[in-house]
Amino acid sequence: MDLNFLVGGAFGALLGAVIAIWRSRYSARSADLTKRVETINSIIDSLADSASRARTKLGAEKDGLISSKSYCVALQGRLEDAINRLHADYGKFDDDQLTGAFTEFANACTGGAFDEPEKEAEATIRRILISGGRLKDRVAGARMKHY
Amino acid sequence: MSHATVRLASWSDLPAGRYRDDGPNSGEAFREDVLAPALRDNDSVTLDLNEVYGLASSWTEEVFGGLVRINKFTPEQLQKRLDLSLNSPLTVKMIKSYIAHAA
Repeated sequence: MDLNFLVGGAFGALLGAVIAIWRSRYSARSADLTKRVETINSIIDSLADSASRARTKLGAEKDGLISSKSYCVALQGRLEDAINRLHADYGKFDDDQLTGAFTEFANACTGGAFDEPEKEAEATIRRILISGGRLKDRVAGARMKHY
Repeated sequence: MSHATVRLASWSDLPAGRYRDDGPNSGEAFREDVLAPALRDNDSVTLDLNEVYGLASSWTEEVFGGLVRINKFTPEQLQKRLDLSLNSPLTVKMIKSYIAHAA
């Protein structure tokens, strides 16, 4: 009787420990994923801001760094790296909808010609901001497939 | 069967600009001076695009869309003869879309 009680207790304790470790791991990975998606969203916002300024020169006199073409291209590189790393670590961040949204956003930000006429540049801002929002939606959709 | 390997970072690790007028590391310059000749002179080419500090979409489109639009390679030829070495699934898909749309 006592032996059964001891074995049962030990098994329960072991099961509890396994569940605690699993929950801890799950929470850590979920929090990491959420944080990294937030970082990606922040880079999308920064790139949209930089690309809009670089295209139109609006606000360029105020902050020349943000409106520089190189700053814009570097932000796009950081965004690409962040999404690629997230896919390498967690998977599911490379479906056609997400990569299509990335291509659309990247084309709007650094495609075409930076020195386009003013009216075209104004239209490009709309493409930049709306395609950036679509990319965020796709990243959020991929995030929801996980935890 | 001749084969060439082209490493972009050896040409420039800061590729920038679409046309030659945009600077010495432009997509047009890379395509005309490096990539198109390598494809003309060899049966296959491996293009290593790693270890550069960012690729602007205008630069990338000018290189790969330009191979179809200007140098008259077909998407099928490029699929068979051009092997991309790149640690970015996003950019690989982007390049494929540029080649497809240029046809």
